[in-house]
Formats: sequence, C-alpha cells, structure tokens
Amino acid sequence: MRYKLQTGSLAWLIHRITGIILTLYIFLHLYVLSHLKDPAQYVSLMSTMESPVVKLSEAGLLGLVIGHAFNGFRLTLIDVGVSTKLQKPLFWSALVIGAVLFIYGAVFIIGVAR
Amino acid sequence: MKGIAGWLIQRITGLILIAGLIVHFSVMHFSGPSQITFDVVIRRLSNPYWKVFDLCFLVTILFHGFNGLWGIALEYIRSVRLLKFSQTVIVAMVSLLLVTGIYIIAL
Repeated sequence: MRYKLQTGSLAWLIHRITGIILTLYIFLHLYVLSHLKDPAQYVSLMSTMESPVVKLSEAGLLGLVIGHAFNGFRLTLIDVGVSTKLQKPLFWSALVIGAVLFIYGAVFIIGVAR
Repeated sequence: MKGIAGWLIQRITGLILIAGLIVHFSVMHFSGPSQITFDVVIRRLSNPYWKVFDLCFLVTILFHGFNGLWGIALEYIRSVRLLKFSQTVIVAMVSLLLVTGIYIIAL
C-alpha cells in the first residue's frame, strides 16, 4: 500500500518535525539567556551572534515557528468545528500568510546584521 | 497526558503561545539591537509584570513542547519499559529547563 502525501498529511508531518526541533531549541535559547548572569559573558556571546551563520539560523528558526504556529492555528480551527471542506483553502492561506510574514521577518533579522 | 485532556490543553496552550509569541517576538526579537543590550534586558527582567509574563510563557511552552513529545512517544514506542524511560527523560528535561528558566527570570 502506498500512502499518497496530501496537504493534510504533509501538514501533519511538518507540524511534527517542526515541533520536535522547536522543543529541543528551548535548551539553546535558555542556554544563551543564562549568560545574563555575567555582563561580560553576555556581551561577548551577543557579539558572536552577529555572525551571518547565526543570523541565517535565526531566520530559519523563525520559519519553523511561523510554520508550526500557523499550522497549529489551522488545525485548531478545524478541531473547533470549522468545516473540513475548508481544509485545503485554510492550508494554502496559512501557507501564503505565513510565507509573507516569514519573508518580512527574515529580511529584518538578516538586515539588522549589516 | 492522555486522551481528551491532553488534546484540549495542547490546543489551549497553543493559542496562548501564539498570543505570547507576538509579544515576545515584537519586544525581544524585532525591536532592534538597542533593545537587547545587557542593561535593557536586565531592567526588563526586573519588572514584575515581565516576570509574570515570562514565567507563564515558560511554563506554557514547556508544557506544550514536552506534552507534544510525549504524544509522539506514545504513538511510536510500544515497549512499556521504553515508554517509562522516555517519560523519565521528558520529566528530567522539563525540570532542567524549568529550573534554568526560573533562574534567568529571577536574575
């Protein structure tokens, strides 16, 4: 039996993968913030975070957050009774709005580095 | 958490996180470099309103993230022993992150 990947199952898979990555990312985020215990440590860490690699990763991370949030909102709407007939239009509108927000945010993140 | 409660709380915490993320992102990550200097961050952290916000945000995101991981574990892991083990790992990770988070909020 072959399983055909459609918008619903694709969204499910993306939600699962982004969810796992984002949850594990909390470790890194709090590790970075724990440098606040010492001003010098924090300042030096923040300056290393100006690197393009970090900025690109941050933009990627924003993409994961937006993807997970928009898909989560979409499936919550369906869970609370919005017609499943709207499943595909909801998927595509979440994708378009999410993509616009992502591009805006990514330009901001990467632009600030310059 | 199993069944309807886990599902419902996952939806509710998800909606709370969307609201929290808008605040968190606009204040911390999209307000420019001048808003995340050491002094500004420490001053913000010392504000009791922000402490309450950060604590709620921390607890909500830890619950949502690790309840999600637990749901995935329940789906894929058949062995009861392995499931017990993954539960222990999840509880350990949540505790570590909770303690670290509270330490930062208390700075």
